[in-house]
Amino acid sequence: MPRRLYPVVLLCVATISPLSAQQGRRIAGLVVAASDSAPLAGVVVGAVGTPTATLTDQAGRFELRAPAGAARITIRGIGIAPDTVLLPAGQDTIRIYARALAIALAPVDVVAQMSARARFDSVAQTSTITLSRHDITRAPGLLEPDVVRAVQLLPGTVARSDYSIGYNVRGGESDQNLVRLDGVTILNPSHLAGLFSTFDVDAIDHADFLTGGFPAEYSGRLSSVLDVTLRSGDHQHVHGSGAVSLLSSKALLEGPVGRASFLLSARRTYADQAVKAFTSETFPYSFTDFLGKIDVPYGARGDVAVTGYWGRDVLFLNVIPASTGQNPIDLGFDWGNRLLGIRWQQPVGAALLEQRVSATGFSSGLDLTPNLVSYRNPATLWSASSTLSFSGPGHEDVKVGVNVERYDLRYSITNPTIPNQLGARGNLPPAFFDTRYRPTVFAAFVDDQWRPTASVLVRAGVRAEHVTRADVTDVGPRAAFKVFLSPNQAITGSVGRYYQVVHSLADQNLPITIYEFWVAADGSIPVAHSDHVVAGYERWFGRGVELTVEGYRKTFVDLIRPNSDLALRDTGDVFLPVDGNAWGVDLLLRRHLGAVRGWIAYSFVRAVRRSAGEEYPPAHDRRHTLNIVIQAPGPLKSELGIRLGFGSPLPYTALLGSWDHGQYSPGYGSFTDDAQNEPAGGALNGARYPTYSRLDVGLRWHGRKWGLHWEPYLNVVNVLDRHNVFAYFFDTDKTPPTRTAFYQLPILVTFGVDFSW
Amino acid sequence: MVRLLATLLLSVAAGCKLTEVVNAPPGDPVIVVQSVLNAAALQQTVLVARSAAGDTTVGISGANVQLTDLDPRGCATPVEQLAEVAPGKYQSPSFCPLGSGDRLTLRVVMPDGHVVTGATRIPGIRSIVVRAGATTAQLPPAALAMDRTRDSLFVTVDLDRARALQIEAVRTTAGEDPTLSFATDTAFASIAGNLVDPAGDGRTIFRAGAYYRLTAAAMDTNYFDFVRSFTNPLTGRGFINHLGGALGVFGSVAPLTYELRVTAPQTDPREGVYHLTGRVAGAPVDVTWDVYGDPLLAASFRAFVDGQWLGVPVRTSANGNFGGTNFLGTMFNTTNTDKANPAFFLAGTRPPRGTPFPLLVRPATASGPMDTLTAVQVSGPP
Repeated sequence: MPRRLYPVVLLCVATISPLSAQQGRRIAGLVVAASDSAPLAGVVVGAVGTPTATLTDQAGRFELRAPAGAARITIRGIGIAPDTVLLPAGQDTIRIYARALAIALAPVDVVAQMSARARFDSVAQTSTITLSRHDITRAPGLLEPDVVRAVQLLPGTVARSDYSIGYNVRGGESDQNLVRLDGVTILNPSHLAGLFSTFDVDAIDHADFLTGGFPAEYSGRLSSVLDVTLRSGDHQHVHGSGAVSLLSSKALLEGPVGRASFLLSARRTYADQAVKAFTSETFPYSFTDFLGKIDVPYGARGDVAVTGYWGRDVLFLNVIPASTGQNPIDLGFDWGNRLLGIRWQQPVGAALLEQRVSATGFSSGLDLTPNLVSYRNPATLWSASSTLSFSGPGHEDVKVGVNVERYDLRYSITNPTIPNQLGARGNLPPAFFDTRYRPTVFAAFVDDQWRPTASVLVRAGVRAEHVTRADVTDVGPRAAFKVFLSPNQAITGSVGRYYQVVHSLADQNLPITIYEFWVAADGSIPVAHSDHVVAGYERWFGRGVELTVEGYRKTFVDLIRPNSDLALRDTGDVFLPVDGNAWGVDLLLRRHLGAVRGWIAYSFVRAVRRSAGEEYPPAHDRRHTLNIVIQAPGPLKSELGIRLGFGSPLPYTALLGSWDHGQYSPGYGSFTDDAQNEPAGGALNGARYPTYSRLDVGLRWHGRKWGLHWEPYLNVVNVLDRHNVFAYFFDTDKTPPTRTAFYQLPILVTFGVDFSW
Repeated sequence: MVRLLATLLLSVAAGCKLTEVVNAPPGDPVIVVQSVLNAAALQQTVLVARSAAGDTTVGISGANVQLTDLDPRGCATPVEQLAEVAPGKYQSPSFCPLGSGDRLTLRVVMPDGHVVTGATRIPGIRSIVVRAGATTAQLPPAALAMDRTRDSLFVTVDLDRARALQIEAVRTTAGEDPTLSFATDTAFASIAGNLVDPAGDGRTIFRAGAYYRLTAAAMDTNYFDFVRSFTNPLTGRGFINHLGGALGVFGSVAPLTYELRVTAPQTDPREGVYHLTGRVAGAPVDVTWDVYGDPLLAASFRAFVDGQWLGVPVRTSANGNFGGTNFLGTMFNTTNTDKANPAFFLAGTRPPRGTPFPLLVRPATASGPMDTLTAVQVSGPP
C-alpha cells in the first residue's frame, strides 16, 4: 500500500471544540498507519453520539472526551478509510490502525500538508515547516535526493555553497543547527566532505524544520532544529526498494516480524569498485552507511522503537610513492557517524510517558603512515530523557520532561616514534596533543499549551539546564501565541532564550567545512545563548495553499572563534568571544495539493558580529535569498521538478595587496633575505562576491516492468551554467597579482533510477 | 530522449568552467614597518616599506623614524631620530644599551604625514642550560659539540618578561645548508641531532663536519606573534599585528649565541684528518681538515678547518667532494661578511693514506690554478 495514499485532513476544523468543554470520561489514543505503524497527524477523531472531535497531533496522539460506558471511536481523513472502533467501558486508551483508501488518488504525498494544516489549527508554534519524502525526492538536485539540500531551499536558510550541505538559519552560524534522526542528535550529518547528508531519503517519513522560537522540549542549538523522522517498516508485507545513482547504489528492505516491523537500508558509493574493476587505477574515496529501524507496538498505545545508523567515509591516498631508498608515505582519512536510539512509549492512565535513551557518536581519524602522525577525534553524546504528555483541565497539551546529556569530545595527535627521538626525555607520552571536553547537561522542562478563548492559543514553557565543567545553570523561558483572525488566518508570535553547550572550531570565514570540529563548554569556553523574538502572520487559501510571513530578531551571546593569538601553554585563551545579532523577514508561499505544487521562499536577513573590538558581517550574511520550487506534470509523462534560486552577494575578506613578511635572525641581529610574500587582508568580510543564481530541472518517470515499479530520473543542475563564485584565491606572487575565481557547480547532468517491489 | 540526453552531456562537456583567472583589482598600498630590537647590540634598524604590485615592496624614503627608550637608565639620548642608510632602511648605529624590562616606543611619520606607532618591552633570560651530548653550556655562552647520529640538543631557559623562546641554528659558513629556526612558548626545547629538514629533500638539518651558530633568544610578544602568524590567503585573516597604522612588527629579542660543533662517527677510509701546508698568495697555510662524509649525499663531505690560513688563525668548516680518487674542496670566506660565498677551490688526486699529494688552490674569483699546497691524510678509519 503506497505511503503516498495516506490521509489528508482538511475537515471541519471549526467544528472542533476545546477539549475542556467536554464531559464524560477522557480517552487517550494513537492513530497509526496500518501498513507501517507510522503515526498519522491531522486525523479527525470523534466519538459516536457526541458532537465533539479532535485532531491527532504530529505524533499521531489524541485525547477526547467520550460518554461513559462503551464508546465507538471514529476516524476520518483524506486518504484513509473512515473507520469506527469499539472501546470497551473499562478501557481509556486505544491504538487505532488506519487503513489507506483504496482509491486512485493523484500521486501526492500529503504528509506535509497534513502537518502544516494541523499545526496551523492546533499549535501555537512559529517557524516550523514539514517536508515529506515526496517534497525531498521531487526537488531537483545533484546526483540524488537529499533532505538537507531540500531544507536549504526553505525560508530563513542560507546555503553558502553548492559544495556543502552546511546551512545558516536566520543569521546563525552553521554549527547552531541541531540535526536529529528519530530524536537522536547527529553530530556531523554529512558525507563526501559535506557534499551530501547522511540520510537515505527512501527511509525518511518526513522532516520537521524549526527555524526559531522552538518550544521548551528542544535544546542544544541556537538557530534551528531539523528533526528527521524515519518511517517504520511495513507491518503487513515484506518488500523492498533499491536505487542506483551516479553517486551510490542502495537497497532497502522492510516488513513485519510478528507485531513488529523492521526497516533496513544500506548505501554505498561504487566509484572505487568501478574504477578498480575496469582500470588499473584506484579511486581513493568511498562511503558506506547502514540505517535501520525496528518498531514494536504493544497494547493500546505502547510502542518501542529502535533506530540505528552507521556510516563511514574513507579516503586513502599515496602521498609519496615508493622509490629507491624511500618508503611510501600514505594518508588514510576516515570519518563517520553511528547512533543507536531507543524510544519507549507507554501510556500512563490518560497520559503518555515517553522514554528515550541514545548514544550517538562521530569519529574521524587521519594517519600518515608508516608511523608518522596519527590524529583521532572521537566524539560521543549519551542521552537519556523522559517526557510525560497529558492534558489538564483547560490545558490542551502539557509536556513535562527531564533530560541528561553527556558529551565526550576528544582530540589527540600521536607520533609513535617521538619518545625514541627524545632520548633522555623519552618519557613523554606518545600523544603529544590530547584534549578532551566532557560536560554533562542536566535539563528539565515544562511546556503547556492552552486555549483561553476559542480563537487564541497560548503556549508557555521553561527549560532549565545545568552544565557541569562550565558549572553554570541556565534558565530559558519560552512563550508563543496564536490569535485566529478567522478559521484560515492567524497572527503568531514567540519568544525564547536558547542555550548551546557545544561549539564548532571551524573558521566560519573558510568557504567550506568538511565537518564540524566540536568543542564543549568548560571553564574557559562559555555556554552560548540566543534570544529569539518572532512575530508572524499565517493564512491558508483554500485547502492547500499556505502563506507565512514572519519577522524576527535574534541575539547571539558568547559565541566563540579560534584565537590565533593564543598562548600554547595556557588553556584559557584558545578562543575569542563573539557576540552579534540578526534580524530579518521570511516569507513562504506553499501549495501543498494539486497537480502543480511547490513553494516560493524569500528571506531577508541582516546579521552582525562583534569580536575583538571589530564589527563585521558574518560570512553567511546573505541579505536576500529567493528559492522557487515547483513540482508539476512534465513532458514525456514525467514529473517535473524545477528549482530557481537567487542569492544576493555573500561577504568575504578582500586582499589589499601583499607584503614581505620578514624573517629575523636573532643570531645575526638582522632580517634575512628570505622574506615570505604574504597577502594583506582588508576589512573583515568587507567585500562581497557577485550575486548567486541557479536553475535546476529534474524529471522523474514511473513505470512497471519485470514485476518492479521503476522511477528513473534525470536532473540537470545549473541549467543556465551560471558562474557562481565559490571563493576567490589571490596570487600575490605574480606581477600583477591575479585573482582566481573558483566557481560553484557548473551545468551538470545526473541521472539514476529507483525501483521497488 | 536519447538525443536530449546526448545534447545535455555535450553541453556539459563544452560548457564547464570551474575557474577563471583575472588580474586582481588593485588595493590600497599597505605600509609595512618591521623592526626587531636586539638587546645584545647597540645598532638598531627599522625597515619602512610600501606594498607594490606583485611580490615586491618598495622602501619608503624620507620618513621620520624615532625610537624612544622610556627606561633609559642613564642613557644620554633616549630619544633618537634614525638615519636613513638605504631606501626604507633606517638605523641608529649606537642606541641606548637595552636591558630586560626596558620599554621602548617607535613612531614613524611618513612623508605624507601618516603615522605608525609601536611599543615593546625588552625580554631577557635569567638563566639557561644548553646541553649537547656530553657538553653543557650556561651563561656566558660556550662551545658545544654534538654527535648528530646519537645526541640531541636540550635547551632549558628561565625567561624574564619574555613571551617565547626562539632557537636558531645556522651553519657559520656555506649558507646553502638549511637553517633551523623555530619559536616556542615553552621554557624547554629539545632537538634531535638527526632532525630531518621538513622543507628539504629528506636530509637532516645538522651535517657532520660543520660549525653552527646556535642562538637561544628571548622574544617579546610582538616578535613572537610576528613569527608565528601569517595571513591565510583564503580568509584574509590570521596575521597578528601589534602596530598602529601599518602591518609588521616592532618587537625585541635578547639572544645568546653558542658555537656548536657537529660530528658523526667516521667510518669511510677517506674520512679523517688531512694536513695541508704551503703558501697561497704568498701567505703561509698550515691547517688541518677533519673530514666527515655525508651519508645522504654520495661522495660529498664537510670538514672542520683549524690552523693558519693565509697567515691568520682560522676555525671554520669547508665543503668538499671525493669524486673517485679526487679530493675537491671549497674554502669559504673566513671574515664575518659574506661567509656563504666560496673564496678558494682546492683540487687534487687523493693517494693512499700517509702519502703527500699536491693540492691546487684557485681563488673563486679567478680562473686557472694559482698555488699548490701539499696535503696528506694523517688519520682516519681503516
